Amino acid sequence: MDIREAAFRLQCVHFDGCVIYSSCEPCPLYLGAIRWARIGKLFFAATREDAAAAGFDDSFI
Amino acid sequence: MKRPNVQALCRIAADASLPAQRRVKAVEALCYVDYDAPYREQILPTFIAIIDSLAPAPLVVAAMRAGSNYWWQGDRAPLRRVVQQHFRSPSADVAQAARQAFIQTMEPPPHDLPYWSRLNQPKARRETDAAFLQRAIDLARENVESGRGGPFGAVITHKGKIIAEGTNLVTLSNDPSNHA
Repeated sequence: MDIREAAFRLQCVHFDGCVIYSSCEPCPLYLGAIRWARIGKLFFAATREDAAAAGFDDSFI
Repeated sequence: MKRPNVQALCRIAADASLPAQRRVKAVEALCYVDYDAPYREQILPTFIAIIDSLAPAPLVVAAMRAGSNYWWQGDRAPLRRVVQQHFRSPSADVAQAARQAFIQTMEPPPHDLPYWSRLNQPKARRETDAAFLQRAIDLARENVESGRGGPFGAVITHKGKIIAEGTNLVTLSNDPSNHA
């Protein structure tokens, strides 16, 4: 959702020089989106283990 | 291209004595008007009045679709408030359009962003990194408290400014890929 919005604002599909800040380590789907958008830097707070402990486990992917 | 007569279209859209078909056409025409401020002040209240009234379902759906076109300008709180009333509408079309419109009205407009998003200070890089990360965490917390979805939020910045924010809307939009 936020990558779509940024693409709309910047009117481009590649975000070289952009930084993404996430409350949690991205799931494989969003890691893919971030790589496709060529966002150079990623900061995240919680890890995937934290998410799994909270009931949002993506290790099966 | 000839400019539409906004006043006449607003009058047709608001006139309950006219057939619903004709009012839907007027609403759809208003959706493509330039988003200049004087027009917006006439058009948005018209849409809000239609959504708030007991208008026929196709008319409410058309007004919600067209109204959410204006999401990036002005105050969207009234639109959001009236749209919310239709979440549990007996008509599936209306409920679906209401959810979509609500998601669109939630997108943050540029002037709603926190003050530090307008600062561009390379020296204070670490502090801004922490602040942006905190913003993502706050978005995640707000998202759970308002019941829109899971505890996930994200912020994208470009040259030290926020250009987009997103949260998990999986349950609100019934979209399993709408993670953040």
